[in-house]
Amino acid sequence: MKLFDTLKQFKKIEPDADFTRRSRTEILLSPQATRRTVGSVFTFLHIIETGTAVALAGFFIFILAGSFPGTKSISPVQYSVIDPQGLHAEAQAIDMQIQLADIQYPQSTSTGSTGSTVSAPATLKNAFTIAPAEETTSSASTPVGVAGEPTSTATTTAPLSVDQALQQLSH
Amino acid sequence: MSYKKITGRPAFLILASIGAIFTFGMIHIPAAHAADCGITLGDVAQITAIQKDPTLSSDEEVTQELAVRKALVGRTISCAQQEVQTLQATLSSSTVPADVQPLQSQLSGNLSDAGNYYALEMTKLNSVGISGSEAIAQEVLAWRASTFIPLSESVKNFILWSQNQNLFVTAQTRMVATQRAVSFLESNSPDADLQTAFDTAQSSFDDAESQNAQAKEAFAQGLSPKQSLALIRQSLGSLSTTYQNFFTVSTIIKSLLPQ
Repeated sequence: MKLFDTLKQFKKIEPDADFTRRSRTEILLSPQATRRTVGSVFTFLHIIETGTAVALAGFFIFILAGSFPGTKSISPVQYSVIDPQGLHAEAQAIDMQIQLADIQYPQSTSTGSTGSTVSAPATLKNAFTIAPAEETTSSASTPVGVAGEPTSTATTTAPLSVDQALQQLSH
Repeated sequence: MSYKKITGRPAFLILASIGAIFTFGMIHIPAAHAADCGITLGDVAQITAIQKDPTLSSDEEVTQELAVRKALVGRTISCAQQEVQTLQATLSSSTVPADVQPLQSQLSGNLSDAGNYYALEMTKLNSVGISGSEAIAQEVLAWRASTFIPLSESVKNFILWSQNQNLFVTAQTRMVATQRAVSFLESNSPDADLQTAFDTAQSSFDDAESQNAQAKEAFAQGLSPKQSLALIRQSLGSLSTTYQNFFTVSTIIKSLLPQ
């Protein structure tokens, strides 16, 4: 029994307070950098190792699968060459530009061929005489604006172009 | 690997580009000399009505007719100035290669001169009588026919040409891709039809590029709008022929590829 009592008293053993403080200070102030650097290098190498393993695994999977996404761009026969939708869309864009050019062409030839003030009035007179002939009882050879009282609302309210307005106001 | 998976987005982008080109082209090439100013024959008829009004004295008739004429000529010139501004804004917003930018600036400068001319005529309008307002209308009409309309047509042709450059870049890209595909297939299994079709496409594309370059030179040399437009139309026609040949090449390639 004496032995047990002695052993129980061991629980009461404590280090010297000064020793405890000094030891704690030494531990806290001891250099840790070397251990941290070594740890970082190991962590970095571990990441590299894992990354390489994943990349190699992926590469072998692509090889086994027979293709990878990059094959399309380096393939000798790109899909765009035989893509009917793309071809059609591009051809359609050209057709639209051709239509735009055709719209401008008659204007260019009509004014370019004459290039004088005589041509515009002649054209205007034709335009002016056709409308009254269809809608009014006035003479087909007389422009409405000059004839006097216009009888058609549609004709008198139709907007004039700059040249048409200038032609009307020049006499 | 199924190619159908990648067709959706490129096709959408191409169609969107077409829509943009079409919209840009239709909206942003103003028909300068065909625009209306909101002036109608009814407005012009006011002059005749004043002249025939028996209740007006001679002085009143002259005063009222002059006022109406000045107002109408002024509105017409303002409208013409607006045309210039619209055309100039469209020209400035056009994207052109660096070597063509001086020409773009020159055309813009010519439009500024046109705007100044209209401003001068507007000033003159303040101090003229009835015959003077008629003379101004005649003068502006003649100037437009001889100077402004050819200028506006040149500007519109230039804008059209600048829009076409994207089409040429796209066609060039397609030509390179097609050439690589044809070379690859020819090296493995020579096909006379394929080579002939590709050569025809290449030839028509060369024509298109040559005509496109000539159109640019036409602007630089100050050739008539009719001549520059003719070259633009030729280049577009050759480009269209190139795409017909692309279709032929595409069909042959598809028949040669394993199904």
